[in-house]
Amino acid sequence: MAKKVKEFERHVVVLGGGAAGIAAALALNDLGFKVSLIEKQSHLLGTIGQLDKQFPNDACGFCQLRSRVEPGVSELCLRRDLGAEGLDIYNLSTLWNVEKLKGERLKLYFNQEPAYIKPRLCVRCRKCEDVCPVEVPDEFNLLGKRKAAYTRYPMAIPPTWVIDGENCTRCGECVKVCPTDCIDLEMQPREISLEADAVVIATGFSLIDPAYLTELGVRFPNVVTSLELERILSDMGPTQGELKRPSDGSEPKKVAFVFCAGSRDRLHPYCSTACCMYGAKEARMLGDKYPDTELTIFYMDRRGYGKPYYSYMEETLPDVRWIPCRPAKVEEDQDNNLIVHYESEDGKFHKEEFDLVTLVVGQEGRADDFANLFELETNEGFVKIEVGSEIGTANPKVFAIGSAGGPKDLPDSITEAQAAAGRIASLLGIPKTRNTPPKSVEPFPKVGVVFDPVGDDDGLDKDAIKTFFAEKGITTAFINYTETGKGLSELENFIKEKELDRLVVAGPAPNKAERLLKERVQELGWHPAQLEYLDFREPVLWGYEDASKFNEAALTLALAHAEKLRLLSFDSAEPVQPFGRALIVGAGAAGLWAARQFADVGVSVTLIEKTEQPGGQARKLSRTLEGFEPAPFLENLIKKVKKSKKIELLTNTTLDRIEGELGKFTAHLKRGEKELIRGAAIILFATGAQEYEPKKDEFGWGLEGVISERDFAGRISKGETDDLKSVVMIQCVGSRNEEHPYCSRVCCRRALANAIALKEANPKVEVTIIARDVMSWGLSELYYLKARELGVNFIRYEKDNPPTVSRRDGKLVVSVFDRLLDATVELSAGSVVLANGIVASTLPILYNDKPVSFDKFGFFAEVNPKFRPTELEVDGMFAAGLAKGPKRLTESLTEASAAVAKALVFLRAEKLAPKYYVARTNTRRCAFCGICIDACPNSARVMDDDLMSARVIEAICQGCGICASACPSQAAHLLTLESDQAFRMIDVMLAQTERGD
Amino acid sequence: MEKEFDPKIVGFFCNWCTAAAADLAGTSRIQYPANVRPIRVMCSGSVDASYVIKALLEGADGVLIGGCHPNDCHYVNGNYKARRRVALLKSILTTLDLDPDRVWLRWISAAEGVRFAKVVRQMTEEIKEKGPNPMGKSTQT
Ligand code: FES
Repeated sequence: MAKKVKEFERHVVVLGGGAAGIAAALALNDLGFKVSLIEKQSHLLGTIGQLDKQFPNDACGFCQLRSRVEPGVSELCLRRDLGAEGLDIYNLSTLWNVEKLKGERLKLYFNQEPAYIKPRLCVRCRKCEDVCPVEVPDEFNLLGKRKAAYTRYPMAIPPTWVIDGENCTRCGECVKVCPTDCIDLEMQPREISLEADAVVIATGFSLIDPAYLTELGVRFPNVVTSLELERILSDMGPTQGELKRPSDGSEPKKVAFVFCAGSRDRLHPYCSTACCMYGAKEARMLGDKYPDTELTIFYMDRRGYGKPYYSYMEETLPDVRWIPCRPAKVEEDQDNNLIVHYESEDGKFHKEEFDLVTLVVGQEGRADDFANLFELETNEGFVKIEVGSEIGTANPKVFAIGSAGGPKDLPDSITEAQAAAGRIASLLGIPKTRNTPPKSVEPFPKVGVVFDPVGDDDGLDKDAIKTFFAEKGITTAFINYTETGKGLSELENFIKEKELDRLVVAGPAPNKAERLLKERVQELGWHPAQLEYLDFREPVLWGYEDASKFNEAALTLALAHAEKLRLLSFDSAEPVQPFGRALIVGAGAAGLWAARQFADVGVSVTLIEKTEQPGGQARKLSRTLEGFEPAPFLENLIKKVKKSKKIELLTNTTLDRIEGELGKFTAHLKRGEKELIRGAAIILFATGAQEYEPKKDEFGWGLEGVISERDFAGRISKGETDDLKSVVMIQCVGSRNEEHPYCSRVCCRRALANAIALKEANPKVEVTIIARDVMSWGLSELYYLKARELGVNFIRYEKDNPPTVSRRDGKLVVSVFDRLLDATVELSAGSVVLANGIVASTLPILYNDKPVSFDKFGFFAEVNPKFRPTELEVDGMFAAGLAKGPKRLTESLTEASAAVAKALVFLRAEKLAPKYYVARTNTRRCAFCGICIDACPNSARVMDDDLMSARVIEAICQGCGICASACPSQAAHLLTLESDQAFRMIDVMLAQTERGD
Repeated sequence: MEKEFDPKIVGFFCNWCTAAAADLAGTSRIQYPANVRPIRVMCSGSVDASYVIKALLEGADGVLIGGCHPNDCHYVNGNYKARRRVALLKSILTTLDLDPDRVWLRWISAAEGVRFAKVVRQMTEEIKEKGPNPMGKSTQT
């Protein structure tokens, strides 16, 4: 049951500041936990910081992790900063001890290496780096050098330079040039101890060092790793995004990728999961930029196993030559070209020349270093995950997410991160959010301008600036507010003394500064909008190549923003009181699991199920590959749900239509003839999916002895297969074809489970798996190996030459073209098992009279497949489990927990506060044309028949302003930038330039 | 003495990508001509056609709209909407006898400081070649 907790009272330590760790920290922080994010390196972001774009949508997406916008709006982009109240970041810190405290709490001890720079004082002027004489290999850009005084990457988090104590010669040059005296070369390591109510391990992976792959030519200059290629293709990389061979800088015309370099071998017997996809992504990025380059991929299996991956890999990479083998050897000729020796599937040997070879390297676990501190076991170097979970460990308060628990890709890591937040919420309870009263901004202001100088050499003529603004009736000051402590109070005094009620602050890139300042002025009773942050230092003082323009820019830009503030005035809307209930559609495993977690934190749930009983597809599942028994788990879960006073379970009930908006949805349900109405703050769709039903005669479907994989698993567990002598399994039935262009994700693993079970029961049985690519990604590769060891036979087939099944003389016969033998072989089988895929079964859903949209496969479509995996286009609507795409049972549960975490952000709010980053409609001007409704990316606009006008749902609106620019009658407008403000700014910017010279 | 023509370019940069790219360029000291006066907008899709026309009428020699790459807009598809709008705007500019090539729309992500600098440089140079905006007030007097 829910415990009463206060904001930031519960403390969660997140180990690892890569993508998963950051996602977990943000999700937890959004739920009111105090979070300490611990990173071993000097700066956050891990490997993902080295990637400009990630699959599956080939975009950056770093601004998508958090949907809340105010007040530190620019902190939301991880390429700028990451900060929030209640979120502490510790860099350079290594865990060395864990102590158990009372009540399952843990005390963690860290050793923090000195950065030799006082972070609060560093102004990122880079002078230390400029004078530092030490050069060492750059671990970020890989193919270059960095100094000992450095930042891992520009705009790093935390936003300071550090000194690498190991390589620093203590020459002291940097100390001399530092304008803020922030360098202390005597700094000592610090001991940190933190008491945690829960721990999230997000330590990620080390990239496999390919040095041992001598046969693949690692020592040749033009053999690069995939991460090196990633940097070569990066705009900020060593070649500024131009494809150049390391040996001579020429542009390679023929590039080979070797997948699984260092994975699926003796040292790393598992599959590294993400490499097929990110290798394909690199091929695609390269191909897009250099269409004439010839691309070849050497691969073992094409493991594009998720919903959008198959089409990503195989349909949108048309100009790639795929060769299914691992090259035997790579040699170099005198021009540094590379000769790749390989054997094609028909047994022929080839030698081919390439200009550049990329080794697509995988992930190596790091958990052996610390798992024992938590009394956890490891598996191939990764934290051992409990059977039946994707993130749970042997310690119920410790979760391992992302690659800490096994090689993972980014979308799964993010889902797991958010799921950990959901699990922790239900373990520890969450606080209600505080209520911010709405504020309005009155017109007729008194405006001031503050410049944060970078030093005396910033090129600004302070007197000229003062006089200029004084003439305009604007007071100016030069205050270094970033300076610890006194800066902010000085700024506050300036406001009070001059009786200002609007302020422009021109300073460093608006990372943390913007939020801190806005929080400060709020304490003075201001609306955050009364402070306008002008990003000045980086783009102007450091970006402009002509220093004589600094002053003019200062005058123009600051005046433009001051004028913008002069025109600012608005009334804030009343806050919305959300319904305290969640509606879950579908009582399969995902729906039940989510309901239980909501109930755990005290949220009321209505859970509807269209059939007679809860349980869904999970009821038909047998023991999984890892040995998880779904049946008792499900039984127990159903019992708990039925018993919970918080959960209203309605079977035989369907959803008719939905009205309303985030916080205030009204769902019309049908139970038989009866209509029921429920109000809900959020809606979670866990409507499941179906097994594909093959067409008659498709792979022999309908013949006696041809059975689906799932039913076959049921037979095995009942012992009905013991006297079978031979079994043939055919994969990709109803998957990865024109009709269903995606991988169903579960079938290969299930085939392996069945094959292993058969062989273990009776080693004599002949088992053949006919597959296009065996999708045993991650640690499940170990089961693929096990199946091979047990003597299971594998035959590869291509989509355009599938096996056929017939019945002859009372026997089932499968004929298949075996490329190894270069001939068609016939196999007789006692049973033929078809790996029927998963197909969508979503029914049309009406929301405000419009159908909810699905993806091209018929599943629910997430807004952002990487960073917002459970959120739908309509705010306040979520989807989890099979309804969103094929996945395993445990993955569905994980996704349900992730959805719970995201939904609780709204459910814990006493009121949904009005916003400032918001659009409005001028009702008198509105022509009721509906253009803004289509323009809005967030479903925040509705047609209000009573008002005869479009209306903005402020709780949903993200303030992008797209509606305002689309509106033909200038009725839609944006509070942050009204058109009169924009016009005024343009006026100033263009008028002022004449004055400047 | 004849002063060299120094173009004035108004920049509308989306908060999430292009404005961040400007910061990135600055921090990395990848410098660019001082001809762009930036206005931070939330999304390239929110740049009203009237802002661009207004800037040109007030004498801007160029207008640079910077947004996120396709698939990367913080607001899902604002950049596509920007693309459509700019295409339309350019045809309007042509009928108004204004030079459509003074308006640029470019995708510059938060990871592309170099590209930001390149685009600004390229635009400044091309506008220099074109000469001052004939609509500009400074040339009218
Ligand atoms: S947010 Fe950058 S273009 Fe939309």
